[in-house]
Amino acid sequence: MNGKNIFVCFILTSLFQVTLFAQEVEQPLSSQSSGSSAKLLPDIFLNADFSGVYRNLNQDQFDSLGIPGFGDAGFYSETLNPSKGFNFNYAELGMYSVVDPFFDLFATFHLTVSTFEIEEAYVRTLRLPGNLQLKFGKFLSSFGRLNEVHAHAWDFSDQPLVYHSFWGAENLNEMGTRFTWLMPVSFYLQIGMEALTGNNDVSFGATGFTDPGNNYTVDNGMFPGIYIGYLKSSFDIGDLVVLTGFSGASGTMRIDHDIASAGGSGIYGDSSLLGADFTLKWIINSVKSLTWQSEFIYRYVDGSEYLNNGIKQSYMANQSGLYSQLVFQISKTWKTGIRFDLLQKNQVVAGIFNKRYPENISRYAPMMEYSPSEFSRLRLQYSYDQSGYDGSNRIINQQVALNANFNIGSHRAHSF
Amino acid sequence: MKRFIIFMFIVKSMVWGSSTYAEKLKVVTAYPFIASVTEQITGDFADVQFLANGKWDPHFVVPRPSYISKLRDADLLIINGAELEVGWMPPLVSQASNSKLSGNGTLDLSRFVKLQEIPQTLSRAAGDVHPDGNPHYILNPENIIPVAHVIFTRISELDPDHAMAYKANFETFKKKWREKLKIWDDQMKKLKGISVIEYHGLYHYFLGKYGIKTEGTLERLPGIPPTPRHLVSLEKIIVDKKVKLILQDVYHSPDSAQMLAKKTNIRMVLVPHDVGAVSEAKDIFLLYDEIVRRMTND
Repeated sequence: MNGKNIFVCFILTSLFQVTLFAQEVEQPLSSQSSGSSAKLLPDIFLNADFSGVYRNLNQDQFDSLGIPGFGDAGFYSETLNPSKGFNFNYAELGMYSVVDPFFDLFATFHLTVSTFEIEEAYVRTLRLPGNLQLKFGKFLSSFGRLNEVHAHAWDFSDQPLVYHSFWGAENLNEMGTRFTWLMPVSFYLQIGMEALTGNNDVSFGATGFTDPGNNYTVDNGMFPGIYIGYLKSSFDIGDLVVLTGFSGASGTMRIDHDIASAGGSGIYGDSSLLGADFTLKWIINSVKSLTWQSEFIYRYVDGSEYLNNGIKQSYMANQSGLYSQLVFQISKTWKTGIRFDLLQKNQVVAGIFNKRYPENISRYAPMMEYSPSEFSRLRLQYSYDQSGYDGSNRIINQQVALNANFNIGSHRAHSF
Repeated sequence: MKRFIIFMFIVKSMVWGSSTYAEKLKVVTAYPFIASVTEQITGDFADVQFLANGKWDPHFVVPRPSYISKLRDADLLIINGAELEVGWMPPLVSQASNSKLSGNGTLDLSRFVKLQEIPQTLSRAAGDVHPDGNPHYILNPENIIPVAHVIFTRISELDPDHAMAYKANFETFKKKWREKLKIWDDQMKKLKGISVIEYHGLYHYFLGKYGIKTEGTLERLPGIPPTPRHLVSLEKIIVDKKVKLILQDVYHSPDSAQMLAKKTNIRMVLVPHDVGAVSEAKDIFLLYDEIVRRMTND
């Protein structure tokens, strides 16, 4: 049986199923259907997030912070809650609907005061045989546990440090395609493969560069720039849910650290990331649960560093980080948690020089949440952050943020 | 590509070949009561499993990946509908990527009964409202036979080989249910015309059928926990309207109801809403036996 035959079979069975649709034996009471679906409108929601922030650093000090080996000055200013004082973080506008019996479409638009971004817009197949699913468009990669989770569904008011350091402020969000297969075993086991453009400018990058003296040129990347594979598994021990996953990403790194100006450089090479995640969730009752969630990511880069003055030298990086968090959902209205962030390994060797970047960089963040209803939430989060550096000086940032999040319109259920 | 297909073929034949239930129709239901009704009809000819635990709040079921594994293999998914599952079910179904569940493979029972309290205007200022109406229709015993009928019809379509057995089981169930209904109607007569207070609008269908008046809910608005001020106003209502009972569900804290019952010297009753909510409610018959017993037991 070849691929074409299978495709024809698939089309025929689908058509057959469509004709079956027409023969409903028992007639449903027709007047009962919800407003929006009756008018064939997609489900629409708007989520808005605001915050008030106090920190010990003044704004200029904060904006000049970076992490050697991970991010230049301004690293923290690109995240949520950047300003001391009032922040309008985002308004997220989302739409979802089935397209027809074969596809559904989901899109979210990320709006800030001055930008409009298509955060995600993807199509999924609904009727592929054999528990297979194909997804294509622009979407958040399923690498790891938290990458595909939208900001309004995070347990804390910011990303884990390891996510921010390896993927950037917007996680790994790319155009491309994903293929998943739910394997036919007695527990939950999903295998997934993704081919993505590779625009992520922290661990990959699709835009080439040329040094001012025209000694060398790194060409732009072609699709696909990143390949991702993952395995996710879960099983229950009574009311204890165990969830674990392993992910791998491989692609080409093209990073232009301002090569056009004196002291600038560019990096070009192979970039590989490995991730492992482990979650234990104890479901005490309908509204009470205790969740321990941890993730580890490792990055290996092997390539060349191109300097502004025309010199090319070898470049190798071994970097890793993790976060571990404990979240207690006390009741429908109250939730509390604590997260520990760590950037563990930070070995970068350029030419014959080990750059001796700081290692074992940490951050602690406890939080408390109050939700008057399912659609509104206040969160108070403190963080003791030892990860920021001004040049090579460690600057400790202590911050208190009060975030308010609101949702109107249809409320799409969240995944586990 | 060819190799991949061969590989998949081998894996599939291994899994299907080893399964002892290969011939049985696999039915997954959202809640235990649906599974209980379905088992009455299928007997041993189908493998029936439910997802949510009967002790939990049916609106807030915590989703878990093991549900996806169950949905992955199902030939039929039966849901309560009327948006009761909207907060937890859709992502699980989508991730199960089971092509059998589209179209005829999902049965929404709410479309075959008459729903009450369909809101005239929709606003979340009124709390967590259900646009299709009150979804707890299963607590009217009159709705069980129509529900069983549509389950019987759909299962017979999907598994015509056993249609005769399903028909016989359905007729037996219908007869037995009607007999029990007479007994419950008789037992409930003594409560006709009394006034009660509920935690949430969970028992409206049941109370409506037996002519019992609801004078208020502990939740000021659906889905919003009781406030001290609202409880004080309920105290006055209990006295003024001569309320006899406070009906408490198994999944909310009974503290407010207990306090109110003690203050006003009336009885609080813990009323099961689903099969498995209390240990006595082992199936759909015993669920109603238990509701009636608890409410009429002075």
